[in-house]
Amino acid sequence: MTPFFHESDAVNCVVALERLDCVWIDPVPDEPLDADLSAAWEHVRQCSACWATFEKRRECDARLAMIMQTIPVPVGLREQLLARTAEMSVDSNINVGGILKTGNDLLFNGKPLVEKQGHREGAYGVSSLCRRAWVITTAAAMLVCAASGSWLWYAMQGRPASVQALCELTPLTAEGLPIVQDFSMLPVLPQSWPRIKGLKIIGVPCWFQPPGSKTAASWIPFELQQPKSKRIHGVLLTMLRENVLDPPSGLMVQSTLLKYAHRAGKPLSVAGWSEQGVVYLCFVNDEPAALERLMKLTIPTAA
Amino acid sequence: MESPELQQRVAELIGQHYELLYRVSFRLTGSTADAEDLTQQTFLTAQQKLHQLRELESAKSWLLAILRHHFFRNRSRAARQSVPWDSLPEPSDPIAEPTEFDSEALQLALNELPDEFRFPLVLYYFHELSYQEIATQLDIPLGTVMSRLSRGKQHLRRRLIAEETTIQAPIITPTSSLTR
Repeated sequence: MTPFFHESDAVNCVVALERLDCVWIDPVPDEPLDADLSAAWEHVRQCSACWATFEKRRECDARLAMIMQTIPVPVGLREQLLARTAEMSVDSNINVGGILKTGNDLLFNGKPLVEKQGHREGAYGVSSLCRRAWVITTAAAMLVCAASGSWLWYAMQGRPASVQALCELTPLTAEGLPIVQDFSMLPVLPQSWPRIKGLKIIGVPCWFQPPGSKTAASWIPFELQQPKSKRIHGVLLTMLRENVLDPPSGLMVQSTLLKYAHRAGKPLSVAGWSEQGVVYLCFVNDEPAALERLMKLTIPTAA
Repeated sequence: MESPELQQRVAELIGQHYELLYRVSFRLTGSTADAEDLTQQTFLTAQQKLHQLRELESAKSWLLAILRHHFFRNRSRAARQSVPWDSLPEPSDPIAEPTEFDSEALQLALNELPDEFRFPLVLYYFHELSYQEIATQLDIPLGTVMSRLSRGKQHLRRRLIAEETTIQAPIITPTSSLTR
């Protein structure tokens, strides 16, 4: 565009467009303008070249605004933030080592629940140490925290839950689930999990009560990120064996029971196994191959 | 404030604002991991300073102020990228007609901007703060905000569409107290 000057105006095209460019995305004013902007506005309205540029800019701005805001939010970020802020509020004097009587050596020794593989040292100040501490604290919090969730667990003891129902009804998001407050009530994690590189708990454990059952299961979101492999997001459901109605026999030893289905049009893979008197169901929003990769890492130590 | 009540309020803040903060963080930092870190830093600080938040209506602005603080501090720590505006690369081959551009192209163009220009520009396009609020947050005059916005928008247009390759406009710093 070539700058254009109205002889009678103190405002030229460039100045008028610059002034309006500073102020609005959708610049048809509802409010009285100050003198400078009024002059610019009047100029643009009367100058066809300016008006064309102005319209083009307005369209461009609208498109920029739309694209600027179109960013997918990572799955589990909310839960991660809730977990992080929750653990900040945990009394730092809690004796972690004394409470983690779960058979989980890594936790008991004060090591992270999950070793992080290839951790990125970000430019944003959350150091590797902080992250490690966060994992430790999260793990500790899973087995420690407040007592308000315990009543829920006890209250729901009784009627066993059906594995089939758990497979079909277990939610894949934490929305609406009560957060675990007393982590000492949680069944132990699979023995192999703390040793699996790249596996981490990414949110706050919750309770899930299958409809028609008084028995609650713990609902734990996790993520598996390994080199050269696609990231897996999933949920681990854990229940004491006596609270499960019909554990398939194959599930009671070390083999997995893989199930593949679709939920809401998306692939869903489920695997089940048991160890240490606990039945585990693992849900992954992906094809079975993704879950099998995790199961291969899980099962060798489950025997 | 009692701990359960504090946690409840923090959880509410997270529920209401985490998506916006993440998206703004992403546009500021240009990476998912850094955006997650920045979002987390913001909420952790908010939790510590929640007593400072007097009105729930101003929570968004307050959180964005915390986010801005961490953003600039982090950048400062990581050898702040103090790119003078004049050193910004000029677009290589101006395109004759407006072209389609996507989120990635936009991010690349944003990444070329100095932080001081990027922050108001991102907030502007997110429609979240008025000019006055941006000026207050950055502790700079309103006219400077508008000037940075104008130059930032000019840069994006040059990068993403063909417009303005021939205009060398002076920087206008309106003295208006207009807010959006």
